[in-house]
Amino acid sequence: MAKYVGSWWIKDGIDGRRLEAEGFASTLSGLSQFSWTQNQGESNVKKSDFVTTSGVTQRSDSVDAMQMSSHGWTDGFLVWNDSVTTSNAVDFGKNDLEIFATHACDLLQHTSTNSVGRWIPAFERLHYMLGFHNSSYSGGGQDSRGTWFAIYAAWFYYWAGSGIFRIDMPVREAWAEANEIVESNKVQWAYLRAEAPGAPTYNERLRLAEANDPVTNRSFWTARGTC
Amino acid sequence: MPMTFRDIDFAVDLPDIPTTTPVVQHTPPCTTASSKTVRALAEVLEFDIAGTAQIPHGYAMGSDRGQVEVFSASGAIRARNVERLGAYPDERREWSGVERSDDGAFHLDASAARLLMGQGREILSRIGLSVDGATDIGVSLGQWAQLNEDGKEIDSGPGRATVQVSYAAEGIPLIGPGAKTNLHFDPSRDGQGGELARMFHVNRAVAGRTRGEVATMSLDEAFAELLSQKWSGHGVRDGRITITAASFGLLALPADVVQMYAAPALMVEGTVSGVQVGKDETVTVSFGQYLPLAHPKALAEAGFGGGRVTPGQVVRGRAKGR
Repeated sequence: MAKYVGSWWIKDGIDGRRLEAEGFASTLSGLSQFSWTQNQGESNVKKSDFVTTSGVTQRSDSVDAMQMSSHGWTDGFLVWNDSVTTSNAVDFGKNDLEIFATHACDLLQHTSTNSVGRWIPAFERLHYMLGFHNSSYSGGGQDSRGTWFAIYAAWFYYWAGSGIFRIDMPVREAWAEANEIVESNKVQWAYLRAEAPGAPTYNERLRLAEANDPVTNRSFWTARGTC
Repeated sequence: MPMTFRDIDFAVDLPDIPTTTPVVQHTPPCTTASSKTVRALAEVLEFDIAGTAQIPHGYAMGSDRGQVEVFSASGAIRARNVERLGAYPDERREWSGVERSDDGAFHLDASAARLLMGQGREILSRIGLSVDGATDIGVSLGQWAQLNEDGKEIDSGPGRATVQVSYAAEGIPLIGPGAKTNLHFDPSRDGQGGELARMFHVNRAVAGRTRGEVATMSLDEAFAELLSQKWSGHGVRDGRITITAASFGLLALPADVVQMYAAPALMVEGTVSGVQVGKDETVTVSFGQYLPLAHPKALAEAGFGGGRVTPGQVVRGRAKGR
């Protein structure tokens, strides 16, 4: 069975924001190991896609990995005419979601006065939140962010040229390399990951095989670096 | 109601923007000239070259152990030793000469930074990469923290170290993603300096005599693109924009984009605050955006016309009549 991937995007006048998110899922859907099952844009980007809502299927949790383009800040990100914040019932990974990637500015900022631990309640069985410590950019050729993330996270592992070489790169490195192409060196990529005994995630790859979910006795690691 | 320029607060001084600005013309990349660099990089990163492959953005050489990629659009080069990328069990790196500043961030002290920068220069020289036009070279240290289930930080420290080079053309900083060199190091086993894990270099060559000048836009015009955004689905009312950072320079586009010239732009960061239309909640979001400072028409008149052409794609806004 293929691994399901999805894209969520709000353009807000810049079509590159749609391309960023769709590029991730579109690139992976060219591989037999992945299937692009969710593509929600503009007014279809709903709060209930991310927040546990009675009687509503949470669409983000029907995919294993997703990329999103929308505005953000340290405590939340925008959906269509609404927002998802750390005070909402966000429980990523109740069903499937393992990797949540977004370009939302500042979402994973970690400082001595504002810990990124504010997002830990969102980790049900989620493995990685990938984003930024400071502001990411639009309007200067960032369209291919998601394509690059997909290329380095999985495409170059499964690609047709794998008889010559395959690039077997951890998810965190793929996020860093993707953003190094599309952002200036003032921007800092960041991630927050969960791990547990029997579920190491530091060197986790985006592969067809399911990795163990970190569920009990968890610890969390955040890191950031230069683009 | 859309925001206007009067709805912008500047928390920082805007950089000086000249009334006319040089536009630099780039020469086409010569990717075959990179073959010596590619082989030298494989040596530096200690992997064998099992073959060469055509890839979507150019060509790559290497093996499962490591690869070098050459970007045909810009001549950019990226290389990595994949084994080194996965050699550690977690984020922790033991560097000599680590200091901590008041804000809690870790830095290499002057001596350790100097050692790493020297190593970086040596590698760049060995692989034949010119850093002509470099305006700044420095070391940035990655940061990590371990948290418990309650979100409390239980440990923190330095991660991978990056020797960073920034560039300028015609004396004007190149801003954006397409003009930089990053050498990413893990600590060397002998405790002296670092061991290169991966690198990325992009800096398009500039044609010698072909530069022209264009008139720059007024600030009202430049910020129009930012002001045209709705920020939330149906927009925000009573909105205010606060600019917290602004840099002026020539915009260098990403390595995967064919760029024939670099034109002036502003690189701005800030926040937008307002009440979401249809809701009574105030929201404040952060943004980073590049704002072009040259009209396409002014660029065309200065000999940099044509805009961006995407094969097979009709740009409807250029049609006359409807």
